[in-house]
Amino acid sequence: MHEASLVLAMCEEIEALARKEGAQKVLAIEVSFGEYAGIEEEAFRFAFEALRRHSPLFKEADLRIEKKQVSFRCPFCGETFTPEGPPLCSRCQIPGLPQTGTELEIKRVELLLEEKEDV
Amino acid sequence: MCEHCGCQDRKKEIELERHILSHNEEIAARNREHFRKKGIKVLNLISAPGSGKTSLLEATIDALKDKIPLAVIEGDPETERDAERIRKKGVPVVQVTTGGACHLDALQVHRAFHQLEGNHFKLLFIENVGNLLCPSAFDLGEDLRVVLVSVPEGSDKPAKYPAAFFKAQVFLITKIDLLPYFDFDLEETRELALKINPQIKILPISSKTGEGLEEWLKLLEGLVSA
Repeated sequence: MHEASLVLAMCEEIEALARKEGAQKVLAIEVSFGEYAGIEEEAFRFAFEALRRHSPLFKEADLRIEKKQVSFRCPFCGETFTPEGPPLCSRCQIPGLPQTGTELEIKRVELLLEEKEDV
Repeated sequence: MCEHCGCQDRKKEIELERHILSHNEEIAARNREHFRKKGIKVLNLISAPGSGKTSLLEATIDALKDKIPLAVIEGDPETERDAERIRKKGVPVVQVTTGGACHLDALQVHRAFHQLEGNHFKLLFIENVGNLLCPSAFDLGEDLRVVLVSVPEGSDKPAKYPAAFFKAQVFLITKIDLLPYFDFDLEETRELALKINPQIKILPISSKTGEGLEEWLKLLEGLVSA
């Protein structure tokens, strides 16, 4: 169960960003996980819920999780493909190189900035 | 949120597109560069607990020690037991105890590497914490990632843990001396692993009888002389 470490790492990244931007709250977080990233979505949400409870910054944040399919690149013709069966290039019939599928990415963050004093 | 108080103007969307473990990725990249400069090749061994990582290291050390100077970083949730086994073989070793955590990260490897300073070696084995899932997310800066599955675990392991196989370059099927006693289908395992990663190199071995060990040693010697 490394989802808790991942949630911590994610929130550290976003906290640094929020500080830089002068944000009061994080409103939404969009993450993208590859099919082979080894992430249990439930466990990730659970860990985030646990952290959020004690964090004013993340208390209202909406967590959106997007899954990214595995893809391969043919080492011969360079074509990128997502196979249903064995990962063979349909043109060249040779095994592909793993391309995408292990992503663990923070895609977008929505922040609520601090109120500015009227001048 | 409303249209009256100006709170809409305070919303800001940022396209971050950043790796969740970007901190770990950065340290791993630094490790990799450091290893390259020192001319040291590094292997990251990943498997479930009890797949024979330490036994493989013992057999590898016995066979290679006089040809290639080696060192080992041992990752375990607790205890120095594995490091003790390696130390008996007369090879420099650092034990990293993660305090219950399920994987090694790049910073732990960086620190352990500094503890090995002063020893001369060309090949460094990192024995990750016994776990087939979590360690695969953490790049340590290795040259080769090796995943192990032992015969008693069953031939469907690659299908259950695709992440570990997707990013590995070598797949060792260990304890093949036990094949007569288990319903382990070597062909099935090969097929499943190649379906996830068509480029993975598969070697069936037994650290106990030495069967298949020669190919593994050849691979290591090739890596060091590359």
